[in-house]
Amino acid sequence: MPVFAIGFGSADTAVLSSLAQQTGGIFHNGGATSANSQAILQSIGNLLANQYVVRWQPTSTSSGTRTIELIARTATATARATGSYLSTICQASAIPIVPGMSGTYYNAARNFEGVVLEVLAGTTPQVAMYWYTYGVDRKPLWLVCLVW
Amino acid sequence: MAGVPRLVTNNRIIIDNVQQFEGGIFGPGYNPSKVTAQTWGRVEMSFQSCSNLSFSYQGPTAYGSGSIPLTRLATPAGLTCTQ
Repeated sequence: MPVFAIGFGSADTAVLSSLAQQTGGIFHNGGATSANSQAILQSIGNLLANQYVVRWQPTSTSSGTRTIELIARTATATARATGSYLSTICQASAIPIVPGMSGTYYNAARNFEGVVLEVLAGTTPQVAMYWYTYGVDRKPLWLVCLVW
Repeated sequence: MAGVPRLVTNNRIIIDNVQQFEGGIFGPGYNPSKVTAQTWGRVEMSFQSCSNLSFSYQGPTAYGSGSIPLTRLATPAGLTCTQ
């Protein structure tokens, strides 16, 4: 939540400035009086009334620091802003299921058991999975799972 | 056993209705009309990379549930994966 700070009298400008900066607000430094406070509040109101929400869906699945640069142009002016964030959440969940994942999978501690996976091409992957394992009766057990 | 279509989302393949087939027999005596299906449980494959995944299952009471880390043993020729 952005904090818009206004310094009256002997206000601690360092604290107010830091508070505004860290929250994405603005600090109106000194000079605020009862006479001009309305104008200051009006400017803050104008600022809040002319904000845009920009949503962005990253296409990269890599982790690390990402920098976003936002450029707004009008007929007479250009505004530019940049920001960075650390991508960590995407890394764990943005590994798409692709045909290249097809193959045989196993666990070295569980020889003679495993999974064969086939991922078919398509925008919505179709999957065939064959799990060869053993039943509680110690007999071979096959599971064939199809995701269409 | 066969699973009815379920879900492929993000890095996961989820099959929540794995079925077990019974009644078949080896050789010329095989009669598909004798084969019946019953629900076995749920399977989920969660990939950490192209070659590593967590294989989770929830089976009947006698089987319980668990998770097995799996590693790729082989890749079919002509396919690539860079995740």
